[in-house]
Amino acid sequence: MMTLTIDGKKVEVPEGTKVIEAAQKAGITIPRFCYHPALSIAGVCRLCTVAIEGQKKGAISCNTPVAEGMVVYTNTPEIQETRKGIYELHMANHPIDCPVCDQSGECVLQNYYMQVGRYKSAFKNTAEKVQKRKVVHLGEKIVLDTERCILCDRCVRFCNEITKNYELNRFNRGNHTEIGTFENRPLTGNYQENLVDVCPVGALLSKDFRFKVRVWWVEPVDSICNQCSRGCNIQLHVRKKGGQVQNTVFHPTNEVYRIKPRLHADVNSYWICDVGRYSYKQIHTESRLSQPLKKGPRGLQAKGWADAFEDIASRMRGIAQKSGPSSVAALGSAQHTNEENYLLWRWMKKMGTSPTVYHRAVPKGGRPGFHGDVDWGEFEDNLLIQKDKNPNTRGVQAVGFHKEFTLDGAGLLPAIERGEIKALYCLGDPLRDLQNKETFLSALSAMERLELLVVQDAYPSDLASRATWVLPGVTFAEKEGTFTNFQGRVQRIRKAIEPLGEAKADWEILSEFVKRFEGGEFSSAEGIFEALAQEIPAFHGMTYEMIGSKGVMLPLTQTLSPQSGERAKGEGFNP
Amino acid sequence: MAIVVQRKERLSLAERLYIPILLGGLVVTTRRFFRNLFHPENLVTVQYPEERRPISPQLRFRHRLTKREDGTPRCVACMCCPTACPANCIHIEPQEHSDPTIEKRPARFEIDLSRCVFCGLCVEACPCDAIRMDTGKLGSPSYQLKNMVVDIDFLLKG
Repeated sequence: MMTLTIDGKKVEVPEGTKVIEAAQKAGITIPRFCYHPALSIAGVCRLCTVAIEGQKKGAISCNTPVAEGMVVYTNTPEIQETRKGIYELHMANHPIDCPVCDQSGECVLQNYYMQVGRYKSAFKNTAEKVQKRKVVHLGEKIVLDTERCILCDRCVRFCNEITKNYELNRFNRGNHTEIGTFENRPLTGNYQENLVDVCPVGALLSKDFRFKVRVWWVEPVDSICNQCSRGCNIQLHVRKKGGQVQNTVFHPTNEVYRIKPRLHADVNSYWICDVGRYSYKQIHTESRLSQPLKKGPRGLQAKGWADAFEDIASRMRGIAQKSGPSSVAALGSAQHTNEENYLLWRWMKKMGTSPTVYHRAVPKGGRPGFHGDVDWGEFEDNLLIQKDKNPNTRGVQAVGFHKEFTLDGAGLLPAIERGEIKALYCLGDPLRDLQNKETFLSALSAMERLELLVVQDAYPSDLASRATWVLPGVTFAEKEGTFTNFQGRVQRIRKAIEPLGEAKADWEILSEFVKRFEGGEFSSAEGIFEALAQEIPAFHGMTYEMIGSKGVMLPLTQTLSPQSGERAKGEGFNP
Repeated sequence: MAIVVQRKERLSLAERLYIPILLGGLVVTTRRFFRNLFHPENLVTVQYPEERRPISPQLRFRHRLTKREDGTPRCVACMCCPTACPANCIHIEPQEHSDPTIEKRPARFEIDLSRCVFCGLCVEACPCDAIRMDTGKLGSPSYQLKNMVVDIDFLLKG
């Protein structure tokens, strides 16, 4: 360990730490463009220059290792003057088209200009600026503006070090240096949108988000990605309903506009995959269930919630009394939260049966933003994407659903066919991903033998269209809860928008049944989690407070410190 | 409680007789009538709408969108004016511009004049001098609120 003084504050850091990281630990953010905690050191922007006692010239803090007894000043008048000079050169060929630029509002160049720039420019004639290529389409996802680029090389290092596809590089020399791909070939891969996050300016922009909404009109809500079992920490950028939200005619509220990654050193670092990033489109798809539906003589008909609760509860009771509690079954879901699976389990326990089967989605075909030669459900890579595409497989197993639903393995379908099971409550749709038509149809016809089939899901499906009751649940953006990722880390999702139409959060629907079967009353997901933590051994002692923004491991051994990752030193850094 | 002072009304003799006072009033009216008849240039009434009083050019009139030399709108759909607007009456939908050096243009640009408070903050906020309030025309009254939402074509005509 080495002790050094930065702006009068004493910090102790391990040997080899760079001054910029030591300053971060002391709570001082040194302005930077090219430094990124997850990437190698380039040292090209020079903005992080600091004064070190005993050295005549300033040194770049990102590439200066700490020394014992070092005394560093980050904000002397000389350093301020140096930064202004550096800033002026960075801006020499920058078009300063902030109003048009989509990065405006979250632009590092903009922010640091107000903080440390504010120079008097010697470049009086804007017509002398070097003209470079604008609106260069690099594939389907990214658009490049080489004029706005300040050549920090973050994107080049991202391609070389994280995705290792070496696609981006510098071209030309001097004033005419540009970022680009060889022969303007399109970018490939499933992590392209991270280039937009890495880019401190508006040079690399997301085609999906470009022109959609100004960034100061959306607010972030912390959540967890539900596209695979990694459980990447994300932010949903939404326009919330009500409040002081303005300009809603072409920019409606109650809508998720984009997904951004959130730093978690042990789960996803600074990155998320493009499939996760585009998954918000599944929230605002046309085909969503928005009303409880009941099977009638002329197909499914819209009904009220009160009807649905009353009818399902009384039919469940009737079947359990007539044919015994084992004739009632419920199917847990790896797509739903711990709380919801627990409520289903608790309800079934109250009815005198013990549910053991859960289902897991294995999506066929592609997904928006997915590049791969196999089905999305089969795909995995060595960066983030896990083979299991369900956010809560570990969780549903920990709650008590041990067996996975398969066409023969779990014994559920044969029992239905034999008539042993007469009522089935499905959380989600277990048949959605069976695209083998024969097995799908035989499973569907088996399901039709049930006296009572309830499907609680956010999306319509073939199974739902054959159900006795269809209860409209919601997507992960419209409810509270926890997912347990493949590592066994319990992490919280948060409600970002109001449920669509008459749809209800899934835990609200289930808590109504639990209440009707005298299993207790729950008014919030947090309350359910408390009961879950008491009853299920794996979750013992956990609370929402403990989960916080970093999650808790299952079984509870320790709350993981954010510093435990290899390059998590940049905690609190906002790239 | 306010204090009410009771005053006795005391009418003069002429007032009590009524007729002389009535005739006195008629004299004033008749004198005005003949003066206006023979010297109409001294009239204080303005014959609106045929006749209008001059308006200060500093007044904030109805908005217009300025054009480039080729007749397309100067607006780059940067959303500065709806952000600045305190009445939340400007609505813009952006679109890709065919010229990459401009990059962005409004596909739709609507101002709800029934909500506008004519504060001029949109003009102040505009970085491109694309919106001005110098048409010399006042608001557009209508029997229906929806007719007071003006679109990009209307605003470009000025």
